[in-house]
Amino acid sequence: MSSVRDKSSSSIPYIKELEKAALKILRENPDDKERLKEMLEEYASRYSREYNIRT
Amino acid sequence: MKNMPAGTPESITLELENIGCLKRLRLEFKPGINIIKAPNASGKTTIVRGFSSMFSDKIPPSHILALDELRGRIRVYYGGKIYEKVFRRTPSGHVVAQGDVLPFADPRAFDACVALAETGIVHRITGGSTVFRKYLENLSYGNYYSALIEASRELINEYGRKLASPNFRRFEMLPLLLTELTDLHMRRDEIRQKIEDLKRSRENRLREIRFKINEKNSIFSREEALLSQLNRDLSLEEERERNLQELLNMAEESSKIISSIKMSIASSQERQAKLKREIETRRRLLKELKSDIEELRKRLRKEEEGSPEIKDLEEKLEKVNKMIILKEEEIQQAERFPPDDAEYPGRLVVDVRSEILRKIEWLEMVMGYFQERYMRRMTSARRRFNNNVTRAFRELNLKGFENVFLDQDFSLQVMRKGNIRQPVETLSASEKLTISLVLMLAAKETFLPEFPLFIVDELTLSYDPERFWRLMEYIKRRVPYLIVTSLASSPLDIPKVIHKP
Repeated sequence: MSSVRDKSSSSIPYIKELEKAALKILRENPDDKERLKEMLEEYASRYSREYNIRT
Repeated sequence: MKNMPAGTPESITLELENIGCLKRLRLEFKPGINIIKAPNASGKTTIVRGFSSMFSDKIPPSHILALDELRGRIRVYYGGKIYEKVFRRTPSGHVVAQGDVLPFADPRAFDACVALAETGIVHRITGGSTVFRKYLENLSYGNYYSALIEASRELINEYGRKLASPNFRRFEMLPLLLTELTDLHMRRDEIRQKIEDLKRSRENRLREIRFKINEKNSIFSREEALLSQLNRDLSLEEERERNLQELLNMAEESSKIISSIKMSIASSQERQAKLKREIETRRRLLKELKSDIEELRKRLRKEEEGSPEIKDLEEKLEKVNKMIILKEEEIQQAERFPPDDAEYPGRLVVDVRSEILRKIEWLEMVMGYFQERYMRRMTSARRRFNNNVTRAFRELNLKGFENVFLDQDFSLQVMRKGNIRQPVETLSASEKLTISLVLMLAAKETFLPEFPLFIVDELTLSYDPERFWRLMEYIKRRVPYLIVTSLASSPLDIPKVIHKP
């Protein structure tokens, strides 16, 4: 697994949408890590469905 | 008041009922300095805790309700409205709180605006700890990004563990398994070819033996017929000799005839002898043919039974076929999840693996993005916090301190005159308290500039009046309502508020 990734928000799919939703969850309950992980997993699955591996 | 933001109410009234050691109490705070005067153990900290529970949830309800009561209440009159919170002890002994919070409520306020011995910053300073990363994380919401980083990292690790599970490890063995299967197929083809060659060669031998048997049989039949003919010729000759002997007996008078008959008899006997010899030869020949045929038939039977080499090869072929079936099953298991798999029933491992790798790829990008956001946020928070700390020390003109700041590791650095670093643990108690208050006020100014309260409980007891008032005036200029608890100079029954505008 590569440790260095392009971190600019424009190159990461759904990042703005994710950030907004995650901050909303954290504002409601900063300790709700499980909900956070569920959401990250949903977006990761969406990425895996919609994007091919960049080699 | 000059520093009063527009819309700040004229007063805040706090009513407590069955809270801590207080049965019933009503206090009124006005913009400026509000000193709650009370003797020891008369409820000063209870007032601070109770009031704090109206704008932060950091204090557990069980620490607020009076120990011997089932129900208590806090009411705040603020901006023409009433905000009430009720505390109730359940039959199981738990304390639950229900009701309103003040409109400016913020969970962070307890750490930045309530200087209580139990609040984080004071405890850190007085406990000698000097690392403020977590403190600034919580106040700047950097903790949101650290939670996201941690959640992403945990998910990446979970996916990594999945990829190390037996199903995926078997999949990684697939190229080797396929090579092994190909080898087995080649071995099977070789054995089949050998068996075919051996069978072909046996068929040829069988054909040859059968041909020989037929040939010998044909010779045998021919010889047998010839022998029969010879036997018949011999019988005829013997018959002829008998007839000639009879003629000889009858023709004794004519010597000429006798002589001719005798010659004929001798000739017949000679032919008979010849026939007998030939018969004997033929019989020997037939016997030999019979023996040859018998021998050939034995060989035929043996060949028909099959050779041990073919049997051995056929056993080997069977074993290789079984190994191929097992290997194919192994390959199928490596290629696909079992139908009863809880997570990926019947799915191709290659698809799931690629899905997981894509998820990891995305999570790594996301984690990198949040790490960068976290770093930016924390760097900015530290810079703004340090600026406010520096300004406070400069304006307060506290003797003996050159600079107080958080370094790159968020570790507190206290510099004495001449830029000499002093370890925090070596500071006096009152110096630690002063630094605590200044840091807390800087945190409030940096992260909660609009919050209208600043509460100081019991931390100023050891200050001389000059320093105490200098500090109070400094805070008053920055916060609409400053609430300070202080020991009463004369014993009083209940806590009382002295207001200094």
